[in-house]
Amino acid sequence: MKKALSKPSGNNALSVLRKGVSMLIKYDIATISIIFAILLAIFIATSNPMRLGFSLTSVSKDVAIFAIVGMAQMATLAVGQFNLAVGAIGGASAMVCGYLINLPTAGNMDVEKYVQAEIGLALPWVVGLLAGLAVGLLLGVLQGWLITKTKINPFIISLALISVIHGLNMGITQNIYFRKLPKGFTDINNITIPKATADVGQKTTFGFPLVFLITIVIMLVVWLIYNRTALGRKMLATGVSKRAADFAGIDSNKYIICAHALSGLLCALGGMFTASKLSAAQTSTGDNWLLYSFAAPILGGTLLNGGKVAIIGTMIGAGIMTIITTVLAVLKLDAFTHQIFIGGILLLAFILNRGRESLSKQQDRALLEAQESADGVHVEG
Amino acid sequence: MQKEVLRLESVSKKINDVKVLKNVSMTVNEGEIVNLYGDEGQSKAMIVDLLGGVFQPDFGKIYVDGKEVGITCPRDGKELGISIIHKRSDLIPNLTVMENLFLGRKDWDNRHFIKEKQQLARTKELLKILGLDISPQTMASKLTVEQVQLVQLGKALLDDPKVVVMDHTNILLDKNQIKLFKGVFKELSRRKVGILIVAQNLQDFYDISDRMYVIKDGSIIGNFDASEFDSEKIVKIIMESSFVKRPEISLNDISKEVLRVENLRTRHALRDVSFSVKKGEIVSITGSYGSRKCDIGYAIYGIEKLTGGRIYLEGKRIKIKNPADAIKNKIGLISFENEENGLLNNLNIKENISMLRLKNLSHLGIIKRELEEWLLKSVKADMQFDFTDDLASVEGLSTADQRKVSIARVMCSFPKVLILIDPTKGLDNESRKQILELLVSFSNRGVSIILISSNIHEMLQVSHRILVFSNNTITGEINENELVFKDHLNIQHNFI
Repeated sequence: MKKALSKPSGNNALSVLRKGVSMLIKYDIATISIIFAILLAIFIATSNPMRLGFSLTSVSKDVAIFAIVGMAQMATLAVGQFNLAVGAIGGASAMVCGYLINLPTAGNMDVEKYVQAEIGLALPWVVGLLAGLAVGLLLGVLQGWLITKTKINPFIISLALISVIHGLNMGITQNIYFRKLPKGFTDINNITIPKATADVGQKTTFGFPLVFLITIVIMLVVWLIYNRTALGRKMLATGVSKRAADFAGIDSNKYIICAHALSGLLCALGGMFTASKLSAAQTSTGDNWLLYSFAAPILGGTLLNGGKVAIIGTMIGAGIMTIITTVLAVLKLDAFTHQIFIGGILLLAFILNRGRESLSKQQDRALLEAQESADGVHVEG
Repeated sequence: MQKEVLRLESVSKKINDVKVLKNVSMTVNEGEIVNLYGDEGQSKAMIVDLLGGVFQPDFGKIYVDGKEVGITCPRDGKELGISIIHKRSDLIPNLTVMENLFLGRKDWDNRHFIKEKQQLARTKELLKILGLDISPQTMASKLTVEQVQLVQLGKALLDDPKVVVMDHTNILLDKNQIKLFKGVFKELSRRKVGILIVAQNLQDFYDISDRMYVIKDGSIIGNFDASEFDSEKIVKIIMESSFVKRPEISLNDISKEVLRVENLRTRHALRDVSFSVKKGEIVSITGSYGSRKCDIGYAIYGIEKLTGGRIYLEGKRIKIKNPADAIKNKIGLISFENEENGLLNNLNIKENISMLRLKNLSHLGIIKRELEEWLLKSVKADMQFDFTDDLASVEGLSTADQRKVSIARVMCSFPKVLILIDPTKGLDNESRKQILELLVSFSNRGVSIILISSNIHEMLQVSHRILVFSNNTITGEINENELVFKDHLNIQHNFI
């Protein structure tokens, strides 16, 4: 018995190393954490030390938005579907919120290059925020409802909805900007804890932006939903296999709608975070989200065909992409180059994921064999 | 002496450390119809897979026409003249019969253009041999199950094979279906093609076979010539190890009816299906392959929509629109049809088992983890299951363990009526026995069980009554008194 137990721990250094490698392969987060750490280190090393604090603060603002949008996509991926309308929903929510809270300024058009909205209800910004969230929720529910009721391929419905939502948004608002947003609203983006300094000529310091902290809280809530609630587990079950979920008495359609609702809610939040960051609500909000929304959760280890979410992974995935785009911006490469990079990274993530899957299967088999041979020793002893 | 066309010599194969085949040797001669018979398990299917190039033997050799061959992919087998008719359709549904027959056959095309006239002529000729009265332009999706099988046979014949291997496991055929196949096999035999029928039901091709191999637990345990066939003896050999004691219904329970269904109808499969189940009774439903007998279970469980009929539970009429309603009414179902197990693959054992009870395990939508642990523990103790790691994903479990998780899950909802569809399909003898014993123990506890299965042996072992389903309704009933062990060979012949 003792002999059997002591045998596997014999060659320690090698086994520790092997264990470490297997951990990395098995837990998706580990791999991308390392990639993230390397990227972050490179970023810090190559940045101007005077500007470093400022850069990191602004990077974390972007991470927040991408993480929220990534989680929005993740929510639908979890039920085995997707939400192509992330950007459209985000844009619509931002515009509704903008209209409600914009401070109208009479006849001040002369200096503006763009058409600046002179309308707005100047309601408290909290009302606007809640209304924007409600719009996102409703659009999400609409999408989920259409998918489950019409039984048309979700891809078609989502594709059609992008067009409808975006078209309505442009048509109703005439593509104006809401640029006089109340200070409370823009503070969501501007306030940092501790207060970051960005004075010219001085060394800038880092502070966690409020958006980032809110995102962490939301991440926690989403984590709780998927790991501790019946709702989350049933959504995951639906994602594994709709038929199997139906057999288990789960009303899968209900949970598909729930997932789209959650997705819509997060899109709306992303849209308003963007408006806060730009100090302007505009229809183009969310135009470039689609690729990022898939890249973040998938880099993080969320399964494309449903049933598994990686929430912390999505955050780290968002971090990786933000750093890459920031570095590319610093290198003064244009936006098109960014797209090539992000697309390339997405492809790479998929290839890595494939490798990881087959590796982890091999590992399982090896583990099983090792166990059996250990059992064999045990029997002999 | 006939010429030998196919020979396996001391073939062994291990899968996941289970010896599926042990030293199997067999031969098929020219024009000979050979029946390979054995109870359900992996071994027969493995022989088919070896010949089809799905797997390669660990030890031993395969000879075709006296030459040693290695079959490493399905194409190799085809080129050597081994045609395999699989139990599942490999026809493409939205192509016509003719297009299916000639799919991937370059010799029947003129470079890039299809030799339509020649193909049409050959198709008509083939359909005649097969006794099929259908147009070559019929869409494959419009064919009935037996027609699909025959067209697959036709596809195999086009290869001008030396050997035809018919994979017939898990299929119950009715008399007409069997007659059709017998005719084709005889015709083939006349053309000097060797035929290997891998069958689970002894009776099906009993009378046209020239020889029979009996396989059990991966070894050939008998090689009988036509003159030596003794069906009772063969069945006894097979059955010995897997015998499970039938549950006793105590007399005071027998009158208590738990479930009664009247005139169930669904759009596709059921017409006026009526039957009832008493407390603690195991009622089996069987029917031929393609009869859609499973739909009875699905209709009661709310997966197939009812277009008519009533369901009564303990005398009260209940309406079931979806599985959730069924579970609320204490009706459970586990289906293992089509290789599925109803489990949620990416989730772990614990999450799978607690799925039906999440509502009771959670407070304000948040799952109480200690309650979940408790449920898992009590279920495991109750059924004497032992999983090494409750947090392991169910995907990595063995088939037998996956079934146990499925059963544990459904038992968590304390069903009064449990519907099981093919619960032992593809399991080895030991696991099958375990599952059947579980059923018996549930029955002794008062759970009424509807067992829908194609495996006559196991139904005979554990059920109190067997209902026969054909032509979309229940056409016969075999009650307890008739279920005497030695009679069971005739049951299939007389009722199905």
